Amino acid sequence: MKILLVDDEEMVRKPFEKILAGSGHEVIPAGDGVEALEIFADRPVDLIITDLRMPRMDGLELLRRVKVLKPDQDLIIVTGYAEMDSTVEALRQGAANYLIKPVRLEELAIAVDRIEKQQARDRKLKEHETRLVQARKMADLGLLAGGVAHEINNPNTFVRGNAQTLQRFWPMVEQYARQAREAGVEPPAKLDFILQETPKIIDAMLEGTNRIKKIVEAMASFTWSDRDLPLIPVDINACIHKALDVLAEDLEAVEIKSDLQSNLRPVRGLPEELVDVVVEILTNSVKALQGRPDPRIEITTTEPSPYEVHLIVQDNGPGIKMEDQGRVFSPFFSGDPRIGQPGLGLSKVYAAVRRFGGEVTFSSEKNQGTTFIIRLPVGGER
Amino acid sequence: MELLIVDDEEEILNMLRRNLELEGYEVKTTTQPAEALNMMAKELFNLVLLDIKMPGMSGIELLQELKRINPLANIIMMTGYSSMANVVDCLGSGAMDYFVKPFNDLDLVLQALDQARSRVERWRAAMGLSK
Repeated sequence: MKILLVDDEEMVRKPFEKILAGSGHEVIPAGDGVEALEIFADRPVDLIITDLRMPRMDGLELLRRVKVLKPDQDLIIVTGYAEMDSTVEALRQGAANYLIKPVRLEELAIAVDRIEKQQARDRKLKEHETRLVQARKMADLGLLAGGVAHEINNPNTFVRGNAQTLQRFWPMVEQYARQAREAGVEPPAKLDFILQETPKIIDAMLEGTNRIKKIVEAMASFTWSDRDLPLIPVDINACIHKALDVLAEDLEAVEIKSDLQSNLRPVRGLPEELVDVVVEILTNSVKALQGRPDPRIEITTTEPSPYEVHLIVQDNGPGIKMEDQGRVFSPFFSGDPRIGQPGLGLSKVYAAVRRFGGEVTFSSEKNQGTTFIIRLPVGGER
Repeated sequence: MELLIVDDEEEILNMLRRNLELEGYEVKTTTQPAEALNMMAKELFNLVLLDIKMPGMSGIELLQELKRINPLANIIMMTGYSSMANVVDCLGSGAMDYFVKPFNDLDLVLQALDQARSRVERWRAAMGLSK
C-alpha cells in the first residue's frame, strides 16, 4: 500500500516508517498537516496515518480536508489518552481507526493489515457489482439492438429491392428514349441530363441501403440469444494468425509481439466469428495507438486451467478515459468521436464472447495502455 | 406459372410482385399464415417464397404445414438476420433454398425461382400434365 505518514516528531515517524517499509509498503513521510495535504492533493494514497497534535494544521483538520477531497479515504489517527474527545470527534468524521500512544509496533501492523484486507474486499465487491451492472445493461441493449435491427431491416429490404427493381427496369426506358429521339421525336428539355443522372440516383440509393444493411447486421450480431448455431472446437492461435493477416496493412507501423502458447486446447465457438473478435480487438488497439510513440501490441494466449483459454491483448496507448470505461462495450459508443465509425466493434466482441460462454474484461491506466482479457471455455481435446 | 409469396410486410410483397409479374409469373400474395394455408389447399402452388418470421406461426411450422398440404411445393425461404439456426431447420424440413433480406442481388432470387420453375415444368411434363 501507499501510506502517507504524518507526524511532526521524526523520532516517532522513523520506527513507523521502518516497520511499514519492512512489510512492503511504500511510505511517504510528512511533517505536519499542511505538508500532508499538499502531498495528498498531488497523488492518491491508500492510507493516511496521522498524529493528532501537530503545528500549523492538526490531524483533525487534516482529516476534515482530506474527506472533502476524497470521502472514502482511509485514515488512522494516532492519539494520546489525554485527547480522547478529539479521537471520538475524529471517528465521527470518518477516521477508520485510532492508535493510542505509545504505539506498539505490532498494533500498528495489525491495524494497517486490517485496512489493506478491507480495501481488497471492497475492490472485489465493486468489481463484481460493475460487472453485474454491465451484464444487465448489455442484455437490455442487446434486446433493443435486436428489435431495432429487425424493424429497420424490413423497410430497408423494400427500399433496396425497389431500387434494384428500378435498376432492372431503367435500361428499357433508356433504350426507348434513345430510339424515340433517333426516330425524330422531339425530346423534352434536359432528357440527356435525366438519362445520365438516373443510374447515379439508383446507385446512390443502393449505396445508402448497403450502409444501413451493414449497421443492421452488426446490431443483429449483438443479440446473441437467438443465434444459436452449433458451436465447434476452434484453434484460437489460428484465428490470431488469420486476424494478423487480415490487418497486415493497418499493423505496418505497430510492433507486434506475440507469445502464443503452443498446443493449446481448442475453444468452443465459430471460427469466422472468433477471427472477427481478434480483428476488432486489434483494430481498437491500432486506433488507440494512432500518433503514439513506439506503438506496440502484445498478444498472449495461455491455458491457465484445463477448462479455460485466455487471450490477452495489451497495447501501450493512452488508455481508456475513466469516464468512458463503463461504456466501452456499448453499441454506438466510440471513445474518439473523430473516428467516423458507428462504434460497434467492441460490442460485437462482447456479444460473440458471451455467446461462446466466455467473458471479456479490460484494465486500463492513463498513459500506460489498455489490456483486454478474453476468457473462453475449452471446447474439445487438443 | 403460379407463385405464392408470404411475407408480413406489404411493401416487400409489392416489390417482389413487380419483378416477378414482369418475368411472367402469376403472383398471389398474403401477409397471413392462415390464409397462406387456405390458398395452398385451394390452389396447390408449386412455387412459394416464404418469410421465415411470421406473426402467429413460426416460419418453420408454416413451411411444414405447406409441405404437408403439397409435398411437391418448391419453397424458398426469406430471412432477416440473426436466424441462421432457423435456416438450418428449414432446409432440413424441405425448403429448397434461402435468401437473406435485404437481397444483395435481386437477380439471384429470380434465378433461383427460374430454376424451380423449370423443375416444376419438367415434373409436369413427366406426369403428362398440360398445366
